[in-house]
Amino acid sequence: MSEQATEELREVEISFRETVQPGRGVRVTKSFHIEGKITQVMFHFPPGSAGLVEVRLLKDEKPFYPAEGFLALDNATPVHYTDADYYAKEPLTVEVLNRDGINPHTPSVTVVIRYKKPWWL
Amino acid sequence: MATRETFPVETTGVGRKDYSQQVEYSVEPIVRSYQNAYLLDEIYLVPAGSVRTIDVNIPSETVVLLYDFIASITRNCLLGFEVQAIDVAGGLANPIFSKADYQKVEHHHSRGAPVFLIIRIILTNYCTFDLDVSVTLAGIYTGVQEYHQSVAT
Repeated sequence: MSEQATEELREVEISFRETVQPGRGVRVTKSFHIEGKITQVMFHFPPGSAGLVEVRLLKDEKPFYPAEGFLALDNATPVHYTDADYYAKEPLTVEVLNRDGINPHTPSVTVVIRYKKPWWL
Repeated sequence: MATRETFPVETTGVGRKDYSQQVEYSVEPIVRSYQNAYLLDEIYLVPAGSVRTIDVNIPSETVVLLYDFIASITRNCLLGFEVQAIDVAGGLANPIFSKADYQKVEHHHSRGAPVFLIIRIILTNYCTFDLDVSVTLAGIYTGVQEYHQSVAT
């Protein structure tokens, strides 16, 4: 009788939600302590940002999404599906540049990491 | 563990308020400048073989953007039509256009010719009889401050 090994997969969402004042940029770095795969990256641009709020995600200090430059939209929530390796405690950095001269804006970025449940959890 | 740092960036425009400022309806555009239709529709008598200059004053703190200019007569004879903009009291007149044609002279300014103080209309009657010239100027008007703001953004 053979026993099929099953591994339990879990997901974690790393969220970045930053209110950025006009004419300011923010750089936030977070990480997750278990290795896995990045399966989704979601950006949210609030209505009103008018393409003046530039956002990008860096993985281990290298541009991850978009691959080059920044994304700047208005009232949009693009979802990027991927299957990229993520090693434990790898830094995920979100850069937000608010080029609006008057209004603060609050874009969000969510990174979904799928990982194998460790035996101790 | 999260780290956060901020730094200055160059601004390139002005968007709209979003829920950072408890505004939930920012998909509605905010009107920053109000514009109204401007129409000048007059008939001017120009004696035979003469030039008549008409100055049309614009209310203070107002700018008129002129898009369409038409001068017409009911006879098939040559008519000169020139429009100039005077933006400062005692200042030079900036020509917007100068044309001459038979019976109807028409000009269109695609981006709108701004006039801040006086619209100067110069009508030339090349005929040997008096003419009633129908002049129509159409455009929009708005506040000077709002105009400069919209041009800047």
